[in-house]
Amino acid sequence: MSTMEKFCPTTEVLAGWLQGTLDSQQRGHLTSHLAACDECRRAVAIASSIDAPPAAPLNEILLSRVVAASRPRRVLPFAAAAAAVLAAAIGFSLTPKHVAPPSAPTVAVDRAPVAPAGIKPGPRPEEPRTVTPVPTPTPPTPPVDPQKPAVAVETTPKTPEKPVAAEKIEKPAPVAPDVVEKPVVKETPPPVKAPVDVLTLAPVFVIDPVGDLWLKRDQAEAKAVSLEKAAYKDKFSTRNGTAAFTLEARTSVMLEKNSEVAFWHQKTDDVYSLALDQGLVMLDTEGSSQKWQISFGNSKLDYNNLNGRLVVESRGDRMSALLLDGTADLKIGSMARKALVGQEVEFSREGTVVEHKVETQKKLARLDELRPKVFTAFSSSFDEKSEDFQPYPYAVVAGKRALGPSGFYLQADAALAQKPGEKSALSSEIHLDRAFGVVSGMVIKFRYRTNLPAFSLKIGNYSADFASRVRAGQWGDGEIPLGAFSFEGTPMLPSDPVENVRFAGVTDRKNGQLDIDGVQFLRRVK
Amino acid sequence: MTVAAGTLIGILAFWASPQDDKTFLPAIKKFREEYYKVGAKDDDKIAAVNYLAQHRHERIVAELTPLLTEASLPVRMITARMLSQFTQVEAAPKELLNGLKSQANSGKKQSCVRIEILRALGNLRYKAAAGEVARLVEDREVWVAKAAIDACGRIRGQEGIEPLLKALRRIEGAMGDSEVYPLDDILEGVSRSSLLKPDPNQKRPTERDVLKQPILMALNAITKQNFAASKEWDTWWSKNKATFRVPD
Repeated sequence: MSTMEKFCPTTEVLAGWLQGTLDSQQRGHLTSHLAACDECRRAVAIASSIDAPPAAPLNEILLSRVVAASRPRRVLPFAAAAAAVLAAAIGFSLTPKHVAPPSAPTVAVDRAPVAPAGIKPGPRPEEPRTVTPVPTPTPPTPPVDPQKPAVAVETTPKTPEKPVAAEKIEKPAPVAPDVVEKPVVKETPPPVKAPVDVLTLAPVFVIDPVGDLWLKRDQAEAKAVSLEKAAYKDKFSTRNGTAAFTLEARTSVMLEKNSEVAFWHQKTDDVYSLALDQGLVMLDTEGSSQKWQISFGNSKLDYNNLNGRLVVESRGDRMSALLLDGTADLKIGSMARKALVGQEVEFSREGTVVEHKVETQKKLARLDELRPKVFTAFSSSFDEKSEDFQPYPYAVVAGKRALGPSGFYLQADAALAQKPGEKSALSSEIHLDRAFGVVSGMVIKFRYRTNLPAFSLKIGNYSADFASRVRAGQWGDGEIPLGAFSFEGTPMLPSDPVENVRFAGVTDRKNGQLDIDGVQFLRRVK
Repeated sequence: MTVAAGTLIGILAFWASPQDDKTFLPAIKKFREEYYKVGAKDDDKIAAVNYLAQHRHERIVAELTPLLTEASLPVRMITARMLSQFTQVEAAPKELLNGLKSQANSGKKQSCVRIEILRALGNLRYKAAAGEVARLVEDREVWVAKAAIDACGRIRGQEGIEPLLKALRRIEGAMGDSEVYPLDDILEGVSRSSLLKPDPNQKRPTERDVLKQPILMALNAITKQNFAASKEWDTWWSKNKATFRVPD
């Protein structure tokens, strides 16, 4: 992917953001920037972690999002410098009271639980918190790569920055009159020392939730927003209604009301795991083959090569798993066999397993109503940063990312006409790192700005022409069903792979324009 | 002697078929469950076909063959595409050829199925289909003709030469000037008059642009000769027609 250009705000502006003196427009711009820029975010985080006068108002929720979005990385010299200048500008004392211990495990710092978006932290404790993790499902024991140390250790940062958690443990925070004004960074409870095997677990990303979905992290709970990152100990729950979402653009997940479930991902084996505390959850792999593990106490069920719909239901001291349709290889303990549609596997925490036949049609019809109305197979706004997690990874192979007032977009490369009478060609292309198969009813959606009357889209060998319906210089929305793409007389079919998409057009003009933004592959569920 | 051979074949068939059934029965059973389940959509059926086609055997061909003429168009096309990978199974190209000749695939709407079958026959290099494929070189549907031309070049049957030369003569004349649209009204509900309009700035390819190079390539593949225009080809063919054998 192409490297993003950076237009970082001045330290005065950052200070204004921290002090709340910016107007709403400036604040909005800077907030967007902070969500995308690690350096500025780091600078803000460092500055806000330095003791400040209680009156300095901080947007805790926003800052929590900002911090939650930060990725493990080395502290750049820029961050240190920015933090120092920023702190000076605000008039804070720069003298750090605690220095981070050398070779502090960064994993622990980065894994410090952070309030999910929208969660307001609870009151600041007067005593340092003891490490009391919320009861969580027993995580699986993935194989640990003997070549790699279990805990990644970074070189000691030479900046005043210190692990927040370490500071938290060593120094009780003073009681503040208004909890909202406290920086979230300081609210972060000490990190729960995770067992070594847990460190191989990756958080999962929940995309586009609909319905009554809540995310519970530690003691706090908040309504899930459009992109949530959840670790193995975070729980998704429903209260009075049902909910549905897409898990990492791979699986549709549906929850009945009063359900509570945790997800995690074992990177080493690419296994998704699920632990249901109560209620009912249905998984739909949307045409792909996936590995899933259902945990319940010490019992585990493995569904390998799951391609279909699986429903998991909690029944107090027992749990059941039922393949509603599709195929899977089931592994219970040492026994492995094909999973049978309609054959319910009921198991206890101790590992007792009972199987019985179930009528699936009624259940399927009922649960189908919970399905999200749209399934997103791919989505890109071109604002993604390469170092951030990308639920839909891709690379720009033709054209370039250009910055506009509302963020980045994809600008077509122009091949100018060499001879009189020839036309100039414009083209841009993205390559999807994770190809997917076409399913019926799938469409490609995109925003475009062009001065061409029409342009074409190409996916693999298949192409479609698109007539522009906007004036030159204006953005418009386009949508084409994938079934309208053709190759030498044959249409694109379900199961055909989508690995790339190319936008191309020709023009007589020298200043041809073909800009693309917000490319999405969607399937609307009827 | 004939009776004895027939009896032996019968015994072998009787002995062999349960074996085959045993081997492929679970896959066929699963395929049937998935394909014929109540409410199965095209996506489910295509997934079932893709699954069954992993096993390449006469028995699987027999299971898939009815789909070439009875299923929905996408399923027919996927079936043809899957059968094109059955290189070691004699029944596969035979059934594809039957599917191509079938009345059920003869309409304009079914041209996409014919195209897929033609591609499959070319892929399997099925000599027995050379005549039928050659007949379609002059199909009115440009993309059907293109698929037939490509298949002719792969099959390398002598039957293909004259239709290819005829098509070459035709597109070199004024008939070759007609423009070709990528959609060519092949998709239901999507046509050159719908919202997906072609770019008026862009010159559409003509039949000549689309077909000439494939014809020359097919002729070269069959005859190992290399000429650029129909006149040269006609001259060569008139001299060699009587004695021509497809070179190895």
